[in-house]
Amino acid sequence: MIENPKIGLFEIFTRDDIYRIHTATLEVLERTGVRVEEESALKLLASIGSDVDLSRRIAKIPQNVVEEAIRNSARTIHFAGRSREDDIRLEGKRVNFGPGEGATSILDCQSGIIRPSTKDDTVKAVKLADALDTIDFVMPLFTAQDVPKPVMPLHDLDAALRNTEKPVMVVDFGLEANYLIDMAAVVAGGRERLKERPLLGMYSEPVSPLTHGKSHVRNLMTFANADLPIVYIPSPACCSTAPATLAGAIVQSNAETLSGNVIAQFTRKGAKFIYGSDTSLMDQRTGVFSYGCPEWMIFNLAMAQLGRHYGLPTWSTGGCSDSKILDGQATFEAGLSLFIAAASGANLIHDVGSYLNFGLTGSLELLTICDEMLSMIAYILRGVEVTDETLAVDIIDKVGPGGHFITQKHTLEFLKKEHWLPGLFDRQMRNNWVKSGSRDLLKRAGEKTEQILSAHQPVPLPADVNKELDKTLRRSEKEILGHQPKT
Amino acid sequence: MREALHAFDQERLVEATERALEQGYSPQDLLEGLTEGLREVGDRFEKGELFLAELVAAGEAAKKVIAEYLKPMLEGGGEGEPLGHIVIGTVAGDIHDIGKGIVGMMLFTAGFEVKDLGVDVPAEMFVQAVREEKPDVIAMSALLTTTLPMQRETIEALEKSGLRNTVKVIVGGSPVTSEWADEIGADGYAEDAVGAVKLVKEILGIRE
Ligand code: B12
Repeated sequence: MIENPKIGLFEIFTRDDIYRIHTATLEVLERTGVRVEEESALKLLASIGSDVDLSRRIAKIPQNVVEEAIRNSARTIHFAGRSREDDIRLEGKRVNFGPGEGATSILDCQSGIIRPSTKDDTVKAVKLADALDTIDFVMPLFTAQDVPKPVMPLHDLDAALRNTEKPVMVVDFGLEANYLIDMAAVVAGGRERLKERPLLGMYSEPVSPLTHGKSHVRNLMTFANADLPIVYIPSPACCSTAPATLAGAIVQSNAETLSGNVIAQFTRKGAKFIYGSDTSLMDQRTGVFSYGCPEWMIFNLAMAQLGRHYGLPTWSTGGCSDSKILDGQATFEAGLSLFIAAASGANLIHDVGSYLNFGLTGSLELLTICDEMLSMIAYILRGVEVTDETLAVDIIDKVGPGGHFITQKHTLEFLKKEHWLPGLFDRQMRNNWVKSGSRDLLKRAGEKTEQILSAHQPVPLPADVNKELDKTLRRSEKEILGHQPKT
Repeated sequence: MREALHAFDQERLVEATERALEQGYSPQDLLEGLTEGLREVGDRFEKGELFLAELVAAGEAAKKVIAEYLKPMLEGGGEGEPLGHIVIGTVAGDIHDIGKGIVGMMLFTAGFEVKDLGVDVPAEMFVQAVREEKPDVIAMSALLTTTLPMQRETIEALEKSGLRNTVKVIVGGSPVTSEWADEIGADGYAEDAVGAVKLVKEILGIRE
């Protein structure tokens, strides 16, 4: 977690910009409206004064409704871990970090081989995330390709719940959300306990432009009713699912997430809605949705600032890359986007160390490298402590012109608390570096990852909970698949 | 017309078509010219000279002219059949539209007739399209691990209705691999839109 109210956040809009973006957004929602594929949500919108066309499934939402929903939103969200020490709060300028969920393949950096990711890879990713200090919440990183595909999301969640004590967030793949909530309730000790200790959040998306898909809206409402944290953010691409101009794409993104908030807050006042977007660019040569372009980073800054302006807890993205392998491009794009995310002040930063190949390939080594980068970024954002002691005028006077500070007590006293120590980045003298095997960053990250995975044992679930979780998973699988899957 | 096409300007292309028809060019000639122009647009995109938005704009403009002007005039007497008929769609439960759209557009610019069933297309709708449209190829897109099985189900539905042998099936989308394509008994897989054109030509035995 990074929190430093002292350092100015990286903000890109003036007050006037924000005002214009906000009024443009209200105009879009009132004039164009949104398509809502779920009838109960359409009716809800009609009942609170939206102009609804049931046959076209369009709801035009008046300004006062959008603003009332913002006022009703949770200002601070308690996102619980399995243990209290792992609880996090989403509010103010607290920035929390976690992986994403979605990669369908894994890059083994040592062999260079890319293969479909398995549930075992997910277990490893979650263990690693559980161990790393800079990681505050956990998403499963991969999607398991070796389990029955329609129930894959349940297996991702299963791997997460069993292998970390940190708060868990999973992607809404359109499966009825109660299947996810049931599993978390087993771990929390029942549905009521889960409300007190909300250890599961869900990530869902509207369909840009301006459409709220059926199952995603239903799940949004289910999570709102269960009083669990819900991220509901669009992922439009400039030039295909959003206007080419940055400001236009921001207005549309804002309209999409805020209209989701209207549905959430009028489903349950005070719903734990998390605001944001993952807006990027459709690359004009290849069509890919970029997870490393500068436009994407600007959008991340923009949405964090807007969300803070509304007083809503915010969601953002960082630590990803378009590169196919873990090379210089990958570390640069991941590192820069992490810095931007941290400096944006958004409350939850996801996809950390999870995406190479614009979202399709994950790498455990990238997560380990991101941990190093995050600890460095956290250090930078901590800024400089200014006190009589740290200004060190007496010591400067004592040493005087021409002396040195190495042996001063002041030096010995401050060197540990004042400075950042690399854990992975290399600062050896050349000869020693050669002697120790001339290992590059990739090699070292691989070794560190291995070390962590063999040494770290996440706190297991109690035996009875473990069993109950098993049962719940099997029962849900059977319901969804219509039969018991072969194991 | 060539100029209008390369300026990606629908209005200009429509005007140019009207003018050409007035001047006595036959719709057949115009269709051939347009097809040739589209192929150039596709080639230029492949070489990285054109942007995607330009490819799509040119394609959409040509589609409109063909559907609203040339096709109606050619009905019955037209020659210069398209290279083949393709029905494309994103499978049930999946609304990812962009990649499928680009594949459809590249196939169209390469000279195929493409019918786009849209997104969230259930197996029965593909089957019905095969029955009614008698396409040469069904192209299925899936972007989610959880919707991949719908590609298999669609192939099974085609088998059940006895139509599987009448049509080639290709699959694509980011989680799709050639192993998956083999496993579900598809006729081919391609990683991107340029690959999709090559693949379709290959399985239909069309030489470049
Ligand atoms: C944009 C996007 C969306 C948009 C789609 C907008 C739209 N109108 O299409 C929105 C925001 C709506 C969306 C929603 C969701 N998405 Co999405 N999405 C993406 C994203 C970022 C880019 C997809 C894209 O447009 N790419 C650009 C095009 C040009 O590439 P393409 O689609 O791959 O197509 C090319 C090739 O694959 C190929 N191809 C495609 N189809 C075909 C067909 C044939 C026959 C052939 C031969 C070739 C071929 O050619 C194309 C052109 O080169 C991907 C990540 C990614 N990198 O793919 C995630 C991704 C696919 N989405 C994902 C998820 C999880 C979701 C949601 C479940 C999120 C949520 N919680 O709501 C929902 C599901 C909605 C649903 N029911 O379908 C995950 C899937 C993970 C998994 N393991 O399954 C991905 C991988 C992101 C991630 N890493 O987590 N998404």
